[in-house]
Amino acid sequence: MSANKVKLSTSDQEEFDVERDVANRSVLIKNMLEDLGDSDQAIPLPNVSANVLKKVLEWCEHHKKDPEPIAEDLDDNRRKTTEISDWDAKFIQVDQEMLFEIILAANYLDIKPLLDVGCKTVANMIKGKQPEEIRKLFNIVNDFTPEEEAQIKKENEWAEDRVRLLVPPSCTATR
Amino acid sequence: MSAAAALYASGVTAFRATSFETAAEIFSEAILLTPKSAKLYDARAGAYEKLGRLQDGLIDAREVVRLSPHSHKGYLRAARMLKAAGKFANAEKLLLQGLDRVPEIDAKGRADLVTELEAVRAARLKAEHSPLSQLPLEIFVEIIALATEAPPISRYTHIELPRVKPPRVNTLFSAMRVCRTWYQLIRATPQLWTTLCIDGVINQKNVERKVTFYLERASSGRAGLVKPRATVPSRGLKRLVITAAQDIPPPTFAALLAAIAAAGSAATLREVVLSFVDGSRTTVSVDNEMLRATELLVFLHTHCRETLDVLGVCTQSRIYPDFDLTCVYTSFPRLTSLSLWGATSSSSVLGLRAPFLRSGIAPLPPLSADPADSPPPPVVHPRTNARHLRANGVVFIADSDCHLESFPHLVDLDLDIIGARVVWQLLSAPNLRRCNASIYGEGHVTALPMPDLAQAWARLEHLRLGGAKRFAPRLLDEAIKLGPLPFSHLTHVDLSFASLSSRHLTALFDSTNAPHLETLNLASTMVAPPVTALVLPARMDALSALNVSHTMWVTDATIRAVRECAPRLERLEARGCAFITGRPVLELVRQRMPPASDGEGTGGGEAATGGKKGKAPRFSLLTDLALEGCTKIEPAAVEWLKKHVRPGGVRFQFVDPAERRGRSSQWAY
Repeated sequence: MSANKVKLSTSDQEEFDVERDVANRSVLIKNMLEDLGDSDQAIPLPNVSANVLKKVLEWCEHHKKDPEPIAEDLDDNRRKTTEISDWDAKFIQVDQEMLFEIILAANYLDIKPLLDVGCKTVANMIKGKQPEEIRKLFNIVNDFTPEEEAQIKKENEWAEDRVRLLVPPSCTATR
Repeated sequence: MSAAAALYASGVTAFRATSFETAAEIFSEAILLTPKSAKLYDARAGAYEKLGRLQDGLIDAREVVRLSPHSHKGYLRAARMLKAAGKFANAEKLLLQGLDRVPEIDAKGRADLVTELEAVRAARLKAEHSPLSQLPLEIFVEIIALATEAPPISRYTHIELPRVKPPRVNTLFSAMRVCRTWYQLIRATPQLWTTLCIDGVINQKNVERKVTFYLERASSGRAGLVKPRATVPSRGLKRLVITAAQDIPPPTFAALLAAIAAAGSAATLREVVLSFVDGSRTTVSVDNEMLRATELLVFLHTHCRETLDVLGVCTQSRIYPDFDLTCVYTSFPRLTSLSLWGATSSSSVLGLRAPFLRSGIAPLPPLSADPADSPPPPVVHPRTNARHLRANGVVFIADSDCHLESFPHLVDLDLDIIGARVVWQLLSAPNLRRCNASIYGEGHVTALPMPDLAQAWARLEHLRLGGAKRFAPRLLDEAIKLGPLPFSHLTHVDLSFASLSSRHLTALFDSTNAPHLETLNLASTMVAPPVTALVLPARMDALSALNVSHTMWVTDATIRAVRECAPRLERLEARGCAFITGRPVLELVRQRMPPASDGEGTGGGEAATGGKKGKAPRFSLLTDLALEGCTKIEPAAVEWLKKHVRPGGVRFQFVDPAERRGRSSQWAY
């Protein structure tokens, strides 16, 4: 086996031959490779199934030339945006189950940028939605009693960002 | 055999033959004869179940339970239908009731109930399983944090008035009301409560309650519940955004600041915006605005001198700061971005004071001192952390200038000011990425020394020059003299209202010198006499938008030149160009027709015959044409254009809207 290929084995016992710099996008694999040195042994990934790994590798392949993030600004002062690049947006257009599988896999494999893409996608699904819409979207059961619901609404009455038109609509339409 | 029994038998036959409708009818007849038979109700419930009439079936099944409470059948049937209807909790309750009442002797019946109970519980688990619940907690929090991220600060400090307030949903509160888990989790995560927005109109009645609630969450939430992914503790308030501030009564405003200070949250503030733009009162509140702004500045200086990163003040008046600009940055050592948004054209004046800052107005020298006696000590200019400086609608009356040595990191300079001298040195800041200089102060601008453009413009992406009449041509002349100065990063150029000559454009913005130029705004530009024509660069390969509105030099020849020099043009604005006719515009649109899909000629003259029926209409790659007020363009030409440019892409009317709406909207090119 050539030195710049890596073997990965999934939870459902499928093996993947992957270029080393593609696999290196995963910090988990990268660290393992550094620890193990060159070996023909397949790296077991017991938390990832073949169809998810295939998708994840597709992402890694496309992003293999990305520069390393410069001194990762973990300090959360950095403004977060939910913007996603065109390619990533297209890549992440998958059904909900796959989307969450990808997030879990990215978390497990420690691929921070892919995890970000997943999180942003879910965040964009939640953004600007009413509670009922969110419940429907993610199949969540409303376990509040009506009284509790009224109570929360009352206690947070100030939180409703009411829309008040301060200028006649004709003025606002100019731009 | 009784009549009811006979009916029951034929009903069962119908049921077996899968004619459930008929079976249900027959059982109904039988029930009329013997209304107390559990067997009949059970049979009819079965038929209803098959028909999908769960509501009716359920009523019958409950009747079975009522008539023979010790038989498992009614419970089983009702639970099955409840399960089908998705009412798992009710189904479970009923089955447990059944297990309570069905005697031990009926082992098989009880076993059936137990099996069904397990099935219901499994179905419930599956139905209530949310894909979000499998995520680790910190990822869930990260997602909520992303979804509820407040809009960028720049949204609150924008000059365009009046601003549109789109209907907004407070996502954080929507998320809190989703379910118990979310509610508890969100409340207990201080990281989600770091941005406090107070609007004088929206929060009119509940400023204090909102502040208290946020401060409690932000500073005393149980941080141990979710470990933030960041290394820095995520507690405390990070952003404070006060909009429509003139609508907040002064005592409330003071109480708001006091509450933040008392909660110990002031020391963590990084981004603060104070805006007087939205709201019900405007110009009458100038005094109020001045006092509130000063109050806030003093507050910030007392409490978060070491953390403040972004500061913005936004008003509808003209701003007269009385302090030294450099001083703001040095007083807040971590400050990278200062935005003062005012309106140059406003007639009201906001005097911005900051008593703790060094005043920009130098005191008069004492009369007795003799300058020859004591030479002035060497001045050391402190270095600041400034990255962005925006001052729009600001008038600098100060005597103290900004020194270049104080601004080594400046990348973004956005000035629309009166009082050029104060900021003049900043025009030489090395490696600017954005340079928007609309500077007035006639005498200074032409007399002041030339900025070091080779250093300042080497990596420029956005360039806007405006203001004093001779300012733009002077700087452009210098750029030509430098070689010309190459613009290898430049994408956007705005020279509207400048007075130009052809060589400015041909030497600087040709593709050989500025290969990435995408937009060029030449609206309302003038041509310096004696030559009265402006020549566009020969090649602008990347250009996608060109604006030549309201300028006298645009003629048919200019539009023809555009056809040659800008092969990728998508938007052309030529409002109020009274000299151009339809023909060259037609030619331009025709040249940009996409190649025909069926191999009919590519572009050129043939594509223009796109009027052929039966085919999907093809539209020009030139997607936007603004031709309002171009009175010489013939109506027939306009019709043709509307047919060949995407729907809504052509804007045309005889009267230029800018002419009518008065002077202020001249800027709405």
